[in-house]
Amino acid sequence: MDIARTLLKMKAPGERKPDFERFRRAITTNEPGPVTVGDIFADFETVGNLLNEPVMDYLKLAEDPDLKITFKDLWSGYKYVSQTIRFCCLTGWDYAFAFSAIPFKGVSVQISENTSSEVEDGKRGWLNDNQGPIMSWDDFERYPWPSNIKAINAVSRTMAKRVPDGMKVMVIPGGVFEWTTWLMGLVPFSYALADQPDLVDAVIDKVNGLIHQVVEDIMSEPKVGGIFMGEDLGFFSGTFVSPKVLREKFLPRTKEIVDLTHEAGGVFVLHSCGNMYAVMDDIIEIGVDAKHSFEDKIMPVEEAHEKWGDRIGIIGGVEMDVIAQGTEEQVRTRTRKILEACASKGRYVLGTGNSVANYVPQRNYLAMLDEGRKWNLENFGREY
Amino acid sequence: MEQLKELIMKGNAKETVERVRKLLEGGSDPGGLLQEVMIPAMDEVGDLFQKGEYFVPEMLVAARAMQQGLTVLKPRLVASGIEPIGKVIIGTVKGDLHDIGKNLAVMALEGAGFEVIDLGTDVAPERFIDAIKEHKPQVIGMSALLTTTMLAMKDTIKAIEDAGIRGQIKIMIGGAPIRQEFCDEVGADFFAPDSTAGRNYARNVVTGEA
Ligand code: B12
Repeated sequence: MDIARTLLKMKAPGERKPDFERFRRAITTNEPGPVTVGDIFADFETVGNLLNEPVMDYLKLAEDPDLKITFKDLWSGYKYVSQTIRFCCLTGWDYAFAFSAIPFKGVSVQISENTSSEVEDGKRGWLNDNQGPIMSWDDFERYPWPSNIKAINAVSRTMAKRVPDGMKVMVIPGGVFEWTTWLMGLVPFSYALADQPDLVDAVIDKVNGLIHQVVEDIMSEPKVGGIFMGEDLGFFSGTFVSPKVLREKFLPRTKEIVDLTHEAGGVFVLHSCGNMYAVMDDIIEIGVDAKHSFEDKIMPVEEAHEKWGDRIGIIGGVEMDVIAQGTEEQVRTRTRKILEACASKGRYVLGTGNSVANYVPQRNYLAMLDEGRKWNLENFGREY
Repeated sequence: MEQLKELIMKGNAKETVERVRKLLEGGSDPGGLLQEVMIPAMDEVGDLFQKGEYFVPEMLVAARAMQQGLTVLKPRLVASGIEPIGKVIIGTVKGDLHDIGKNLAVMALEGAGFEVIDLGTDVAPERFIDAIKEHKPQVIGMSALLTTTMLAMKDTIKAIEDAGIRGQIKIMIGGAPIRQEFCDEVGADFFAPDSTAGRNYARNVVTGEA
């Protein structure tokens, strides 16, 4: 903890005060200023590693609604909230991230061990693309849809009550495309688009209805700053499904959530991996405030900022491959290039290409943050 | 014939099966059906996918139609002594359970007339080695989803070298984190940015162009 503080140059808490409005300004205006930092989330191992204390894998609880929650779990859950806040304060985020993960029964995640010795790592969680709990109308009709919205939002709400002054919470509820394909399995979903499109529509309606309720409920918290929706729409070659299908079935649903967030005074950030640029203009049109997740192999963040940075906030882009296995120097060089191209023009927040994943070495993440502070000092005479 | 091609490309499995049956009953040559209609149909599907005009669902339904059509055709192909154009062993490397990328690569290869031995996911180097010794393929394909799991490709290639069988095969690799630099670094022969590129490379290997 002390080492981390020193490295982060935060000798005493409070040296850098989180300020959600700085984040809001950074993604919604092109006003020049020191760059701020953030990502969709950091893995629990990453948080634990920085704080040097064990952090519970809280999502594992949410994924299994039948799990018996013990007193110890409750205590770890309570601690998890303050640990996340501390991580975000220490690393200089203006918000704390909180999952309001909807506990869809049967979305199975298979865990495997880390096998690599070259990068720091934790356990891996995999989805089964070949099947899901809803593959037929029969499955659909019998499906135990989650209904306890307050329970889904419990952690986010607790976090919103505990963040320090100036900080707000960005809530991660998951997106309608992700949840629909996970519930049906990407492959059965693909067949269903051709064979039983009405089933796909029914699942979409249910999923979006739930996301809607979750967002409506949590946005009533004054210290919730907005929604950070995890919604991977693409892979290397393009969008998973055609832009036409996205436009017809999914994006209008996302717009509902964007509007809901805005009506409650929040900001809406879309984390969407892969080559989803065929619908980038649509994303901007439905009112998304910022886009997160960039891969050098598909489109370096500088290029995305050049193309769209006057219409939508751009977050992150320090390539995962570089931050995971590059040297500290390589991380600094990549970060510096991005800052010069993007942060100098505004509407940019510094972050990784995807998330602070458990296989990102701490020294590399800290190097990225440090380069941001250096750049701020050189350009604005102050670190934050 | 044109109709069959269309049915496969549109992913209409039921009618593909019926059409193959009818054409065979009408005396069509099974080898001709495969070479001149069904493989070209899947070729076009792969090309459209590469061009960004087809997406994952279109690929999957077309491959399903092709597979079901092939089930009807296979016994007749075997009877007339028609062999696959080559053999490929493929798997997602150890520690990685990502399936769909590798599966699309399998579909593209099968659609081009290859025999594919799919070792599944989380495949340890020894399993690749055993399979190479048993099946004697021309090409090995490996897939991975993350920077942290792709490193197992390095171990696998090293193990294949140590087993003294590297010279017998060409190795192609693919998946989200893979780049040409990594391919060069680990000594793989080809980086496939997508399943269509993998299909083309494997074809070139068996025709001696790669
Ligand atoms: C879907 C997805 C997920 C799913 C995983 C699904 C599963 N099976 O479990 C979920 C949501 C669970 C997930 C989680 C994570 N993900 Co993810 N994910 C993706 C995403 C958006 C698409 C992957 C996909 O399904 N593609 C569809 C298939 C069809 O494509 P494909 O696998 O690439 O295969 C094609 C080609 O590559 C080729 N191919 C593939 N293999 C082979 C092999 C051969 C021989 C050949 C010829 C061809 C070939 O053929 C296919 C068709 O063209 C990618 C983004 C991207 N650029 O791909 C990120 C991505 C892979 N994820 C990433 C990350 C960081 C993560 C997480 C670590 C995030 C986190 N902190 O939790 C976790 C890790 C999960 C774990 N296992 O521990 C990063 C990895 C970066 C890196 N270099 O390491 C990516 C690249 C996104 C990014 N912004 O950088 N992810």
